[in-house]
Amino acid sequence: MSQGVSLYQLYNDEAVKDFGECLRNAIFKNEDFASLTELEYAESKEDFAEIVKKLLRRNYKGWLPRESSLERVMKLVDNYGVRLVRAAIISHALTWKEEKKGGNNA
Amino acid sequence: MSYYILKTDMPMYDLERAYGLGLIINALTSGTTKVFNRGLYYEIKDNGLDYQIERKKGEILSLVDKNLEAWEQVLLTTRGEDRKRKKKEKALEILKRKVENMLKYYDTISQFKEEPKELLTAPLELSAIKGIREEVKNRGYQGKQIKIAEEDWVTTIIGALHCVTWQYVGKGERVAIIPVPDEKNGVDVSHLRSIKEFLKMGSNRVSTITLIAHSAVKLYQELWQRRRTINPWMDGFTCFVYGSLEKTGNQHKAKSGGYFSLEIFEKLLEVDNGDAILEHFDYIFRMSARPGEEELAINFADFLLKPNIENYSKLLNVYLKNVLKRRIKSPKEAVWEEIMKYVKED
Repeated sequence: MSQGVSLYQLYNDEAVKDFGECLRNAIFKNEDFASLTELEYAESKEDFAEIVKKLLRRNYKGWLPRESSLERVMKLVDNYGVRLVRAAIISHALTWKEEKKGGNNA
Repeated sequence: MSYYILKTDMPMYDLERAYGLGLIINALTSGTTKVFNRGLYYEIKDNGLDYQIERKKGEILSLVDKNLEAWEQVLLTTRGEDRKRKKKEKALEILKRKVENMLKYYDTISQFKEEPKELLTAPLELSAIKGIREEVKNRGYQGKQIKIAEEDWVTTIIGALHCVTWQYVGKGERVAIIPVPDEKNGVDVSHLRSIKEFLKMGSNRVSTITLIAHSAVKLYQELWQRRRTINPWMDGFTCFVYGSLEKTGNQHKAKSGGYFSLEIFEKLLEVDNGDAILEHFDYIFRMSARPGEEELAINFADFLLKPNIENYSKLLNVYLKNVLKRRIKSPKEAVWEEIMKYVKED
């Protein structure tokens, strides 16, 4: 993986987890499918930053990530590229967390 | 005692000979016979017990019993009932005559020891259909028929009858799957018939690759359980060799072929929650076998074949869309985390 980091390691990063929860919340509770689609097509760091802004604006009533998580996620994008960080974030949106029974699961 | 099958670059033919010889040796002794992949050749290793050729002759000859169902696939390209019957009788006759010589024939690593007499047909080796070309004067190149020695032919037949899984995809496409043993654990030949049955349980017929991937899931679900019994199965595989034949008019032609890596599956055999992960793989293939959901099956099979970040991202997007449409359940986090461990950069 890029510069020695694996997808699995990124997935377990606290900031990615935080951001992934936000995306999950946006998709399943607020039906914000636009953010998901935009995220899938992001190619550069600038695209990614723009999508983050939109996601936060669209989901102002929803759960938001911590500021420190946002900074950390952008740093991860800088270091490891959009493709890997995006995959780790979307993976959080996909998976079923057992401690949250019922919750957002499809 | 060890026996050797030197590889020829015709993977189905090599594997069928190795497994076929393994089954003959296994019938001769009462113990374990294993086939190992040694790179340039396959090694067939018995447990050193004495051979009982006369006592076990009936068992050996039953390996080419004319009533075996698999003959239909083995003689697929042989036309006419009479010719089919003659081929069955010939296999029996050669085995009767040469079973003792066979052991000598394979106890050294070399090739072309006997005069090639028998035709290598397409169901035994797909590249036998014009896969090897020869120069024709003033006409360029054309496909060449491949002939092999009687010993090789009969071991190939035995391997093809007992170790090749044939399944159907689409309209009249037949897919052959053969697992390739690894170097470390090898394969106990007494497990080969069961392995063939496990492979048949794969049922996602969206494409050739999805069928092969689903068959791999079903096989490893069984292997995971069997590795955890009192008498564990320790067989190890590197990949499947697969190939498909399609009917065009009156003839069968080779359609596709290649290798399907089993790297992920071998790792899952060692993992404690491997059964839950394989169960989820099976669930994905079962759900995506329905019309309209083929995209998920294809992307998932591609990911299993080559687990890189590109294929993972494609799978993720398709999977999430299916979850949002409530066609399929989200995976449990523990299951998906394990899958992510195997994602490579390229």
